[in-house]
Amino acid sequence: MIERLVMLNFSIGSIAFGVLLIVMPLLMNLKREWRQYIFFIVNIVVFTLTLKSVYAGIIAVFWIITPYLMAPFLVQESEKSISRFLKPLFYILMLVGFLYLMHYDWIIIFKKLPYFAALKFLGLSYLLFREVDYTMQYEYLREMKVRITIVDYINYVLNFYTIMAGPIMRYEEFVTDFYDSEKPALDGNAVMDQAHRIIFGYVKVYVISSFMSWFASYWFGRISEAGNLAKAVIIYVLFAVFNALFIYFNFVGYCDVVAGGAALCGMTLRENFNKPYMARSMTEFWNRHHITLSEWIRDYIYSPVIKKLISGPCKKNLFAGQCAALFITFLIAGIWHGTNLNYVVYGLLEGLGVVISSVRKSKLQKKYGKKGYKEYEKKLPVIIFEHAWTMLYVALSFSFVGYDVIGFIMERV
Amino acid sequence: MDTKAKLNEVFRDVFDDETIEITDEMTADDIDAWDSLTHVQLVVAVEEAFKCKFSTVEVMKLKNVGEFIKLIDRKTGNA
Repeated sequence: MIERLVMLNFSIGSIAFGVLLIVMPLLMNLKREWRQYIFFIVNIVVFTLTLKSVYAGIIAVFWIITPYLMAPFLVQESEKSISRFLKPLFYILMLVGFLYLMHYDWIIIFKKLPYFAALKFLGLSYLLFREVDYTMQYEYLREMKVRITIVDYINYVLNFYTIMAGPIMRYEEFVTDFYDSEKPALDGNAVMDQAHRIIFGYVKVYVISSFMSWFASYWFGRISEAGNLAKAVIIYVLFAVFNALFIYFNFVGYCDVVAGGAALCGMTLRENFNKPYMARSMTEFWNRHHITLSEWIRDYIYSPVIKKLISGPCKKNLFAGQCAALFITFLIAGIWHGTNLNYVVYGLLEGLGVVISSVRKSKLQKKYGKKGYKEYEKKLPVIIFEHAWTMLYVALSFSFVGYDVIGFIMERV
Repeated sequence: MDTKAKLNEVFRDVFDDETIEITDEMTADDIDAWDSLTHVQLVVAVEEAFKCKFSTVEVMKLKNVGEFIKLIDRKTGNA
């Protein structure tokens, strides 16, 4: 029924990506006026070759083109305009479509619908972020006279450097950077810097993170042999720490490779990490880890949710409104990360973590006053405690990412 | 009362500080209590005071108080 297509393997470790990494800087520097068209063709070809079936192709075209065509109709001109209904309907349909295509296995209704795994296409979860950004910003983009063409839109959503796992650029940011004529041409030193970044990126992914992953699997396999609870807890912590390090090096290495590759083509990608394990609270952690995701959820989930809450149900208790908004935001972000129940637990833990850190900060500020709190934060035991607690909490919450911890526990209960 | 004066009252109310004098160049860095929570509070208070609604993107793009005043004027038809 479902025709098999070429199904190109596309990851930063694939031959296809390796070839593009070398060829693209040469192609993109052929002629300035051709850049966007060359990039457009490559993005379309790469994306098409990765499709698993003709049906996936049809759905992908629909999924990508609809937001582009719909954006002008989602502009809210007046209270009476049709977009008042169209806008929420559009985003609800988009969300339902996304949940269906991702095939969340704990949403029971989807289990009753026919589904083909071959319908899922490359970068589906990241496409959603870019499409929401484009449609939400459309009115502003027109006002600011930001260049909007189908070529730029496709290059933005299907950018082969970022399609796999971000960073999540904004449309305005991408286009402004792509056509920035004042950017200096890369000299020998800059090329060497980016080449180093790519090589070290690969080392992080294929050497360091592989080691970490091996240790994590090793300890995960040992939990059931622990014998008593105390031992099991220690082994679990070891597993969780190595798993968190695996996630960090794998993701940071990936970002280095794609950012270096894009830089050689004259594109600047947003930095996604800023020493996350230097964070002293979960709130700070999310400002340093996967930054483009944190900013996206801040703008498109947290802001509207908190606004609704504090102008309605939480009018009397603003702090409760803030905590509820933080919790909802991180729960959704957690669920977005993966399709099974482990990611729901992960989301709950992230939500709880940022709420705890906000409550603690607010309590301490009340107790010591704003100035006193700053002094308190300078004390060595406090510094050590906050670093250790944050690292441990991150590791424990991340242990639900990539491992079926729930299944493991259920088997034993 | 012009937009700026009325906005100034909203600022004093939200930040609970009668000494605040807003300027066009003022940003969140200039007021200690201006954090992510008071920011949303401010937006909601302004919506109530001026009887208008702002979208997420409009609020996201504001760079300083001057731009906020311009936005309010545009929304209320004073521009």
